[in-house]
Amino acid sequence: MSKNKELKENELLVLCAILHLGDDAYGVTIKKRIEESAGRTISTASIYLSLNRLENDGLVKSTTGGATSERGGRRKTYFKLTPTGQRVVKNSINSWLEMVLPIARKWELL
Amino acid sequence: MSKTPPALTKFFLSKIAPDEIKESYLGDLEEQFHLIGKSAGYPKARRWYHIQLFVSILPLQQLSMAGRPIGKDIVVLLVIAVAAGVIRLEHTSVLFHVVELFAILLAAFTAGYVCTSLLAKNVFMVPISCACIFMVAVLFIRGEPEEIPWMLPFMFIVISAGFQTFKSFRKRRDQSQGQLG
Repeated sequence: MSKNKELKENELLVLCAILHLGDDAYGVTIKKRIEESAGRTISTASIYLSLNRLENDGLVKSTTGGATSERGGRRKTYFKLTPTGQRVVKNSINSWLEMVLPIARKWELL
Repeated sequence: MSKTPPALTKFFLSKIAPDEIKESYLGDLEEQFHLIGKSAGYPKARRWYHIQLFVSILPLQQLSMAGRPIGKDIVVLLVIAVAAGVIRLEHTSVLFHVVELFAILLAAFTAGYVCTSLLAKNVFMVPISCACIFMVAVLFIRGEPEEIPWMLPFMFIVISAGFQTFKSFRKRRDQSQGQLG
């Protein structure tokens, strides 16, 4: 998995949501975090599609959690970033900041 | 008003969701259903759940198709297109028909993947797939040479469906042998 992989917008949102949530990152909480922070709706299926790609690329790993009655007795799948995933997120944020900061300074936004 | 997710929608979602994520995905939907039910009422939660079926079809199909080796199918499509073009050699230019057939087959290719993913999930689709293959074979034998290229997209869909169903059976057989062994 290349450290310089370019992340799609959904994938970066999912990775950042997982970082925010820590040990409580699973489908429902990731969706809620993205919708609250990014101000957009996203389907649970789209999140799982992004998670599948990220896991295949070695950026996240999944573990099985407990079941609850609200979930019809079905177990959760928790997600965590791998060290490679953390590096890729850091690189993406650095690239974005390199582009945005000069403009923000020029426009006196900072 | 029922406080459980709509049964028919849940059934369809369980059929199109890939096995790897089915449990957690359906669990997430049910958890969200109850969250919406408690905050906004269960009629709204049921409407939300129905909508999930439609917004989930494309991403779940992409998930089902992930990892499938597409390269080999492209080669097969090219071979079929060239063969069909050669069959029609006496009528017009081969190159034109090869390009024409490839375009048709690419369109059928996408439709075929969606259909075969759905068909392979349900063992009851096997006799339907067999009936379709038999019908297309009869049409192929009895049809005029000019009709053959137009039957090829449907043949591809049906043959893909049969192949996917066979793979599904083989996987289940291997899993049950692994459990016995």
